[in-house]
Amino acid sequence: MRCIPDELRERVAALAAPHAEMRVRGVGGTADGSIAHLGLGAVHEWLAVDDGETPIPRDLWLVPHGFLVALVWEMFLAHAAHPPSPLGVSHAPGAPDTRVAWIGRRVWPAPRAMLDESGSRALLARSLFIDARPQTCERKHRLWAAEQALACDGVSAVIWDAEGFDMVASRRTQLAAARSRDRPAVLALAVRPWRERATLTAAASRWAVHPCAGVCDGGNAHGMSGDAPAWRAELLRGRGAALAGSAHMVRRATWSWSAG
Amino acid sequence: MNGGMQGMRFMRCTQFMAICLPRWSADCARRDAIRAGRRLPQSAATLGSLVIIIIRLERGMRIVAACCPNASRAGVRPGLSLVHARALCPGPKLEVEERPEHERALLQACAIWCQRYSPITAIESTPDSTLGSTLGSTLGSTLGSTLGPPVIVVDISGCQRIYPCDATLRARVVDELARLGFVARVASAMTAAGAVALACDGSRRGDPRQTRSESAALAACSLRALRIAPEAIDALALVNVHTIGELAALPRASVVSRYGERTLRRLGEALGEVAEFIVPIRTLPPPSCERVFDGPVTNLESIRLAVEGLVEDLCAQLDERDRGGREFELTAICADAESQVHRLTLGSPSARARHIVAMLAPRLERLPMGMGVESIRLAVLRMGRLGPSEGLSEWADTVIARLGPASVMRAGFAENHHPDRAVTWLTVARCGLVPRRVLRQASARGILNAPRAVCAWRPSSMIDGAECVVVDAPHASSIRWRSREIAIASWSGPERIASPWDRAASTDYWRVCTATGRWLWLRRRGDEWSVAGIWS
Repeated sequence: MRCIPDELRERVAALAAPHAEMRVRGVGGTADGSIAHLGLGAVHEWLAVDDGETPIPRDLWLVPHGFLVALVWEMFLAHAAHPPSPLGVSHAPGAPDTRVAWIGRRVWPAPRAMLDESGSRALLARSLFIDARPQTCERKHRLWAAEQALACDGVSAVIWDAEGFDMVASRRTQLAAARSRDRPAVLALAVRPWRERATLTAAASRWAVHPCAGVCDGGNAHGMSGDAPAWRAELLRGRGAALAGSAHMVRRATWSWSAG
Repeated sequence: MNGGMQGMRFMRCTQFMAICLPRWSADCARRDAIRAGRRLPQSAATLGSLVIIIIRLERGMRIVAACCPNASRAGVRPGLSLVHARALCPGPKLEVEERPEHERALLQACAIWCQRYSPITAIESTPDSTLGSTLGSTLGSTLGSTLGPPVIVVDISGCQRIYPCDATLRARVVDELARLGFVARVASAMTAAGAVALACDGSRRGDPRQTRSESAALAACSLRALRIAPEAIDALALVNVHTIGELAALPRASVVSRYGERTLRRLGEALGEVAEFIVPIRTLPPPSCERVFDGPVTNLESIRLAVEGLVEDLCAQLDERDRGGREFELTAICADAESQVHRLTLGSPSARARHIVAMLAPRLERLPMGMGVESIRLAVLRMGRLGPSEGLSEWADTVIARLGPASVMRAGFAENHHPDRAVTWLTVARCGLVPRRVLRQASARGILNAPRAVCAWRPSSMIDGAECVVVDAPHASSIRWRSREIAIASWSGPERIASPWDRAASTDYWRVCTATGRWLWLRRRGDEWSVAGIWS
């Protein structure tokens, strides 16, 4: 009986939200892709779909690491495609001087997975990893660290573990992200476990990341030919204002990043 | 010649080491280009093949101020027009503007760096104080200055206990400077001028290893190595005097009248007949300030105000030096107790008083004052160049102050293929933020030219501990994990990673894709299978 309200809420949210999908197969994509459509200065929530098939340990809920890394790479590539003038100092997201903050040990991707195929450590060199675990009241400290990072000038993307964040907490992060619009806006990505998919929050959008089979990468330099890991992001719910500029993404049933 | 050299009176108790930097300008240009993240031409794959040309604007024309030996071999000489030089060196090359002020500052920094060998180091003085023109030259080239490349003199007298082998020390200096990107020739002698001559002599005639004794080596050096005026060298060449030994054989009285006072003085200094004074570089002590109270103070507010004043004074000192403090030490001298010492380490150098006070405030609140504090001293233990991202540094410091020193980390790589040992986690509190120049290099090498693909050959989530699975055989159609049957669509592998010490302990890794598209990284050690990671 307790599941019924959740199901109803999901169905209502699914009906209310425009349907959109985004596919990423562990690759960055064209520069006019996702970042412009995601909306900077607003919080976007990401949940890795737990289909129950993968019996991961109980304390390890799935985090869409690969998808998030691809998103942040995309942000840097978008900046590289439109670099600032040689004399000007750029504070745009993805500018070479800015950093990416990964808050909460669960959302830290494995560092090897943050390299690109040429072995570039550009993203890893920009990443700072915040660990709030040694403290008591971890949730409170995660929230505080996320707010601080969103308010910092030198941080262009913040990814945080939002497990257990209620409406008040998500509202605080949303306000902090919105305040960043006064300066170069921040890419704000909150990660939640799949079991919290029905929790109401103040985030601008909520995405479910599914594993996606059957994408061939044509091999790579490490002798791993054949298929590559792939993901499909499905928009569960979104606020119109934040996605107003993303008509391309919203109207199309599928949107894919392909290797250039 | 022999008669003159026999009169040499070396000061037996002194020993000098001269570090000659023959390609100074070219090395500076290459180093700056690399630090700025500038892409070097393809020929720079091996540094020895890179062609570097330093340009100077003179009367509206761009002319070659200096060049590297590769360009010299192609026929480029200082004074040529840039168009001519490009015609001689048609391939890719690095062309940079001459920056004498920058080179002078870098040489000063290099001399300070050399204080690790001995506290007394000096930059070899030149009669024309225009160091810039001197720096622009390469040995053997005919650049504006004719006195040769810059030389750093290190007084290593009494350092024999630390460096018992002279040759080992010289080799070490050459290696360490090469690691910094500078080509160096190093020689040691009992006089500073002698060491300079031996180091500057481009030919190997003056190598003591070949000529057995220092005096013989010095006698074989060319006059150019003595760094005397070019007019004197030309005049001596007319009477067939080309080496120091030949010059020493001449009557001293005629040398002054015919070839100048400097020629005789340099000869005397090289032979140890005349005392030579070097002006050592002095480094300023780290900034510090102190406030002494009229009597023991127990009021926390008064102490806080005093510390604010000290921080402002300290920041003013740091501003004068254009530096920021990275590590601070606050010492409170109490009336009836031991001195309280608190250290503060920032993520990156800062000279902002408000931020430093905010970081010191929690320490002041924990200060046990006892019968009162008599004086407070604040000192900078480590300084550094101010970075542009002060906001980022302050944010990192704030998080560290609240969550602890191990709360902000960055990742580094170890030279190890083993997944568990390939990554090292560095705390920002100890290792600092990644310098801006490293990021620029990463940008130049990585992002701007990145292939559009994120690394897909390592899982994005590693699983700690052993998550055992049951696998009948590689390429099986299913595996069993936590009593659940999982259908497998494809296998890829194995990738074998051997243990560095025990090859028998090598591990095979397989990438498998489940029927639903989830990718797992399976590990096999012997007959045991486990899940090492997930592409989540």
